[in-house]
Parts: sequence; structure tokens; C-alpha cells
Amino acid sequence: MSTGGIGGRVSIVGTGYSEVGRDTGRTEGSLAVEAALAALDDAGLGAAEVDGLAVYPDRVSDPFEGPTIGYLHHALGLGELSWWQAFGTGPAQLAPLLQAVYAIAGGGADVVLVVRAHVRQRNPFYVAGGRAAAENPSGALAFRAPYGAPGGAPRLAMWAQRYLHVYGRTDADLAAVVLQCRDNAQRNPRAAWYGKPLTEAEYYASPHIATPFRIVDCDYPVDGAVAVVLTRADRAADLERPVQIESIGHASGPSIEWELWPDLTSMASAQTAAQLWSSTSITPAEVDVAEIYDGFSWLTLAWLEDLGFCDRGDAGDFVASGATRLDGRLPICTDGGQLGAGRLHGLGKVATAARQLRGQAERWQVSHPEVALACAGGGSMAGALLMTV
Amino acid sequence: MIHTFTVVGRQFVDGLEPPYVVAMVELDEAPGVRLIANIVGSAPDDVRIGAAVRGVFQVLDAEVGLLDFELVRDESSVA
Repeated sequence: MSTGGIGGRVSIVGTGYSEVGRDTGRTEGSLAVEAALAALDDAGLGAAEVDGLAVYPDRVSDPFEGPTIGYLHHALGLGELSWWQAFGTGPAQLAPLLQAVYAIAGGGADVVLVVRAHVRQRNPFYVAGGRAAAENPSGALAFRAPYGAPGGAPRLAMWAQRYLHVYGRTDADLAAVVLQCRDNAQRNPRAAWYGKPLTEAEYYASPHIATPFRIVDCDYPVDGAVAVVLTRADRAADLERPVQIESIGHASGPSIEWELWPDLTSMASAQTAAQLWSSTSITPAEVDVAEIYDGFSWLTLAWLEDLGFCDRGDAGDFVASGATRLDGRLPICTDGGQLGAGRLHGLGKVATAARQLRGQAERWQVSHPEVALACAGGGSMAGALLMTV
Repeated sequence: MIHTFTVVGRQFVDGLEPPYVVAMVELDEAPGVRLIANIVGSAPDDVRIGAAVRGVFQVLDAEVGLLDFELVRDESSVA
């Protein structure tokens, strides 16, 4: 598979966060502007230099809603753009960043601002189920919502259950991921679970939300925005501490429909990883820090295996061994991840990885990393990128 | 046959109260096809991967029905 020779042609030059919290009382637009301005400031660039804008989530095609791209363009005072796009789906919420890489590499834009902004849903039942869903079938949801599995936890729980069954593993594997994320979050004052560590006993006492997932196996919905500034590598050379994008992956795997996926023990992360590694000479052993997706604890295990960091069925042991702790050989979810710091979708992973490489990771800084990986997604949605300094 | 399943312990959609079991069911008659369905008529703890199941219709009204499955031990009519 091809990623079109991206290697070294596009750089990350700035990242920024908004306030992140359970109940900020703010709008998506306000959070988006705060993160975008912070990212531009971090990059040493002004709004006048931005000629590309990519936003996730859009307001129409995804269960998650963000600000309109039109609002953001206006609120930031951006000028005429060479390229712009709002995204609702695609490779795992990393679509806006991955497509921005292509836009820059293909000459369609020079400086692209990528923003993820979201205010958590206050209504837990935003999808109709049962009889209401059966009587008003809507797209692919018609096959899931009437049975109470619209998406998220129940849907991925079935993958995790199959994985545990096939490899003879237990929920101790899931616990290892959650406990590490909550532990890392204790270093990050921006983390949703900062000051609230989790013990093993508390993990097992947490109620099942959809077996094998307990509620603490699910990432923590928060209000928040994160932004990343990308530019051409030659232009980035004039800026401070640019991060080079070495390779990217965004493959679908054999089925975009999750329910028809042949082998539920691995995800599109397998095909995406193959694409990622096929376009670089860097090997998994050379990765210094990996911001592995943890929308649900099991996704982290699947990604670790699909990326080749450990053998099939061994990810739980790999995490429990301490290999993925901040002082281990492959630190993951260094800021606490989505399980410990809060859900910022894939772009939070990219920002965290870039900040590690730029030496900006505060109390969760890994010692002098030179190669970082960020990935996001579950099921047939997967996106990943490998970065270097 | 139940390919995989989850016992849902929290309400996710309007109109369906937990606990309930959601499964991916494979049909002997249609290899490669999986149906999302509820497993009804048994305690959630009795549901296992690999268990044989039989389709049962939940009739909502004259025009709308849902296909559920129940556990069976009678191998003569399994899905």
C-alpha cells in the first residue's frame, strides 16, 4: 500500500489546547478558537499565514458535533484559503490531519490549521433505540440501534469479548491499560482524572457498562479542543523545533462495515500499520514514545499488537510488565491518554506525540525521544502517523 | 451461533432498558454474514461464545418486527 512518498515533506510546527473539563460552560467555537490561537502562537505563526483549515467533527455527519468550519474561519480572522475541509468520518478522526498532509504535500496549501473541538453530549440517549429505531430505520444504524448497540461501548465490547475468548485472556489485560493511563494522568494538571488515581480494587469494583468493559474502560467525555499546525518541511526549517512527518497510515481493512469484519481480534489498525511501516525504514523497535489510541482500553491492546510492538494475544502482558510506563522501553498514553486525561479524539494523540518530540511534555516528558507514533481508531477506522526530530 | 456478545449494563438508547444481551450471530445458511441481535429468553450469564441459537421474532406491530435469537440445545433447528 502507498502513502505517496510523504516522508519528510510535511512538518508539525505547533500544537495548542483549550481549557479541557467536564463542564466548561463554553461553546465548541470558543474552545476551538482558544486551541487554534495557542497552536499558532506555539508555531510562531500568525493567522494571516494560514491558508488551509481542517476541522473535526463537522456538524452534520457524525454523532459528535464540533463548531462549523465557517464559524472558525471567521472567528480566527483567517483570509482567503487555498484548501479547507470539515470532516465527519474517515480514518478514525485523524482524517483532517491526514488529508491536510496530502494537501500540503500535493501543493494545495502551505500552512494548515487542524482543529478538533467538541462539547460533550449532555443527552446520553442521542440515538433512538428499541422500537423507535426499528420503526424509523436510519442507514447502518437500522441494524444496530434497535438492539441497543448504536455505537461506542456495546459495539466495541463485542470485539474485545471475542479477543479475550480467542486468546484465553481476561479483564486483567484491560485493567493494565486503565491503571497505567490513570497513573500517568496524575502528572498532568489538565487531565480529567488529575488528583484521582485508580487502584486495582477500584477498577474491578467499577460497574460493567457492556461486558467486558467497565465504565472505567471507556474514555472520559470532556469539553475541549486541540489544534495542530502543519506546514511544508522546507518552510518549517525556519521555525522552532519542527517535527517531521515520516509516514502515515489510513487503510480501511477488508470491510468498512464493522459487523462484517472477518477477524474481530484485530482491527483496521493492522492494515494501517502495514501501510505506515511500508513507507519508512524506521522499525517498531526504534519508536521512543507511542501515543496509542485508548478510546476504550481494549483498543490500546489491539493497536499494540497490530503495530507490531508485541505478539498476538500478548499486549496485556506487555503493558502489565511495565514496558509501556513513562520509564519503560515504549511509553504510551503519556499525558494520561483519553482514559486518564479525557477524550480529545485522535488529534490529542498527535499533539501529545509532537510535544514529546519538541520537549514540551512537562512532567510526563520522556527522555529525549527522537521517534514518536500517534494513532487513533477502532474497528474499521484507523489512522496513524510516525514523526521524527 | 454466537460469534461474540456483550451484556449491556447501562442504558445506551431510548426504549431499551438494561441489562440486555447484544450478540453478533452467524448463520449456517449464510456464511460471512453476521446479524446484530438481542439474545432473549435466558439469563445474561448463560450466554456463551459458540452457543447455538434460534431466531425468534418480536412483533412490534403489523408492519415492524425485530429478529431476536434465543439459546437452544435442540440441534435440529439452529442458526
